[in-house]
Amino acid sequence: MVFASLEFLFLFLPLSMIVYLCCPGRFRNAALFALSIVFYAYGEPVFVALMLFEIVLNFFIGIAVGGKKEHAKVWLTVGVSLDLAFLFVFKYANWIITSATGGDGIKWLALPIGISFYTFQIISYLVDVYRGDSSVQKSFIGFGAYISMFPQLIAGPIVKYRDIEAQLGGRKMTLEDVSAGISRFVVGLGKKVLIANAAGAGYELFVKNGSGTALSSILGMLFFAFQIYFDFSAYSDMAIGLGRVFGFTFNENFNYPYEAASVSEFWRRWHISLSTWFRDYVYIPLGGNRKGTARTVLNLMIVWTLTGVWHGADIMFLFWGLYYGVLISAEKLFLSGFLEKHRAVGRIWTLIAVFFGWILFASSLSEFPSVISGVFGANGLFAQSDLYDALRFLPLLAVCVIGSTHLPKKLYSAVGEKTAVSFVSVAALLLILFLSTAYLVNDSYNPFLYFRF
Amino acid sequence: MKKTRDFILTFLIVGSLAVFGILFLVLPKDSDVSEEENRILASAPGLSEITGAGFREDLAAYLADRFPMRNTFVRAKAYSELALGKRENNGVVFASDGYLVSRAKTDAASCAVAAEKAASTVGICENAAAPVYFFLTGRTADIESARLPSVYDGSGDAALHKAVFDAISASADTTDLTETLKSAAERGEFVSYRTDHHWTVYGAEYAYKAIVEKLGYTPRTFTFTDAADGFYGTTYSASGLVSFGGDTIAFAGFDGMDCFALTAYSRSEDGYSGRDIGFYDTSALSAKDKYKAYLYGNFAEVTVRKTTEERQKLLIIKDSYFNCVAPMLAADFDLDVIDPRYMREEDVRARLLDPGYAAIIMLFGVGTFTE
Repeated sequence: MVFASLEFLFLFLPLSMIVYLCCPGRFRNAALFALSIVFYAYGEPVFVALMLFEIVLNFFIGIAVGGKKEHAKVWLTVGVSLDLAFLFVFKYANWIITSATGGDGIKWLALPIGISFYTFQIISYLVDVYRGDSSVQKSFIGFGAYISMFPQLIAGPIVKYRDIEAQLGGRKMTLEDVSAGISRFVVGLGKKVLIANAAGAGYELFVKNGSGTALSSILGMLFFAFQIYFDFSAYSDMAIGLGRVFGFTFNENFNYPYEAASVSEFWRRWHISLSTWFRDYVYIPLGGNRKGTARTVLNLMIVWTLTGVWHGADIMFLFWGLYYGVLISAEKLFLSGFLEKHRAVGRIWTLIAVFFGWILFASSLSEFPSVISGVFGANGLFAQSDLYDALRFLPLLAVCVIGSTHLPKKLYSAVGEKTAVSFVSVAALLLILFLSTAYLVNDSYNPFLYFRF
Repeated sequence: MKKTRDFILTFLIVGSLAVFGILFLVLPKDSDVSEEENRILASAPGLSEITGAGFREDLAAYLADRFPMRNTFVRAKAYSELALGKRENNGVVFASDGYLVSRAKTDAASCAVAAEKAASTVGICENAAAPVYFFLTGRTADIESARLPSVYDGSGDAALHKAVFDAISASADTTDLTETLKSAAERGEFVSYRTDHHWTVYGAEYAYKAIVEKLGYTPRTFTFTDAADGFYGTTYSASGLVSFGGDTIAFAGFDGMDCFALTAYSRSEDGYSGRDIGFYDTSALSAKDKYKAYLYGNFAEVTVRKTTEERQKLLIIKDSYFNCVAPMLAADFDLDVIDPRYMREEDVRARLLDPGYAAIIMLFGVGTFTE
């Protein structure tokens, strides 16, 4: 099930809130676990078994890792290897098979939704228990609730066990949390349905079906950059908001990444839970930057290759990861001093670098050359046919640009505490909910010229 | 204060979610047919199929199709697009003077598909027993191009039109009515509906004149009477139920219009079953699709005979555009009006070999080939 759907908004969510509210405190983890299984099974009726199996397996391995010191490391290795093996098989095996043999691969070996996220969460739990940063979760229900909880199961953020360990043990459903959480959720819903989807339509129109001119290609890729930002950050907003409703505080996953003044800073503001996961569980164990320049660069390239392919089993994600590995290494070695002193230049540098990064990310291997050459004007600067559509999409572009800066939040903070404004914001949230519903309903609106029977 | 505000917020938002969910589950699903969308709305998937592959899609379709206040939401989305300054929604352009104009896919691949459909339509007339004359009319985007926003680029529409015209004129004597209608539109004549993709009777009259002149006769004049207003047609539906005023349906009349017998044939199990109709179905004027008043809609075949005398017979192969031309042509000719979408292909081909026709007229709109 996806958050931005009528089934989730009007059937599953109110039902789950009512069930959770009516549950006495000590059964709330169980309720959350059960609801999350239903949520996941709705989208993955077959592979829900895989997730349940991994939960059971890692629950027991976690206990073993937290047990006798002599055996902890062995159990950690077994656990992490098995979890990565599952991820590898279900995510990458088919890619390897089809690349090697050119055939169709194994049909039933499809990618289960959320496996990239819950695998990393499980590994973070095992490693944290081994390192002593977290205590063992002795309740199967508690562990299951942590791994499967539906607010963050499908699209993150990657929640580290130690960050919510206390909340798993006991939490209250307060009016303040529910109100703040549901507000955050509605804002995320609006970002996804009203902005991200519209930007996605712009990308489709200007790049996929466009004239190939520089105007069309650049405009289209800008819309992709905004689509992926609003889409992904919206999902994080919705996840964080829903988490709050159920009494959990998740860490922020995005921090206005398009305001970054260096590529390194961009990655401290984009998908924060992923980059910190790679930092804590790959970069630092490899030695980080403490083993000399050459080793630092190697470590960075390893981390970025892995980050790239984590996003998907495609060669373009590999290139995308390598691209950032090179840029970040370059910044670490030569550019960081200059960029820190000239933030304005840094911001331009970052936006350009990220723009080209998205071309790598969005295009397939065969599409990439034509998109890049289009951007550089190989098909002309613009065509007459571009103008009508470009003008149509201009207001959306303005909304995207402003929406990705601090400006809206600054404005709201300045006036939001005033009573009148805080009540007006309730009306605004209702309007966002109303319009999001309208756009979702319109997706199924399909009039025919002649009667279809 | 904050607590009150938080309570109101939570109550209103969660309440709305719960209320609409409950309304969906509890409200009776009155009609299975959507007049606005011209289709049957999804029904509830059986719980026995819950493990089936299509269950989730069926449930999503059911929830969306039967969502409470569905048309209000569709309209809200359309008006919010308008408010954002986008002069287009769901592929319908909001042109000047309240005209709603559909856009079509005009990329090379789509043009090729349309051309192929056109070629196969005209191709059924290969071995016709009588001379074949093809009449093509353009889409509203071509005829009313002067009303479209100035930055609108019509080159795609022109390419689509040319692809279809070229495909047809390669095999048949083709008359393109688009330029005539376009000039009429520019003179301020009401030849295209604002809310529907068809032409009006006034646009249809130009087709009548072209057909009759091709056959070597002088066109008659007709009296036109307004039959109904408040017509909100196909582009109104497609636009997301936005309108800047409805259209007026007019009927063409001539002396002696009551001496006719019309029979409409629909496909039945082993053949066709007929029923008596007239030129105009006045009961359609109180429904949403008022264009259906012309010739009672589309059938496999409609036969038009003057009861008082025998006259030359024409075979008409058409889409829905001919429906308002029919009464005008019937003033001087008996007609067998065939819609190839509803008649078995072998029967259409057999009819074309019938030597009893003075001529075979094909009349289609370009839009029919883009569906």
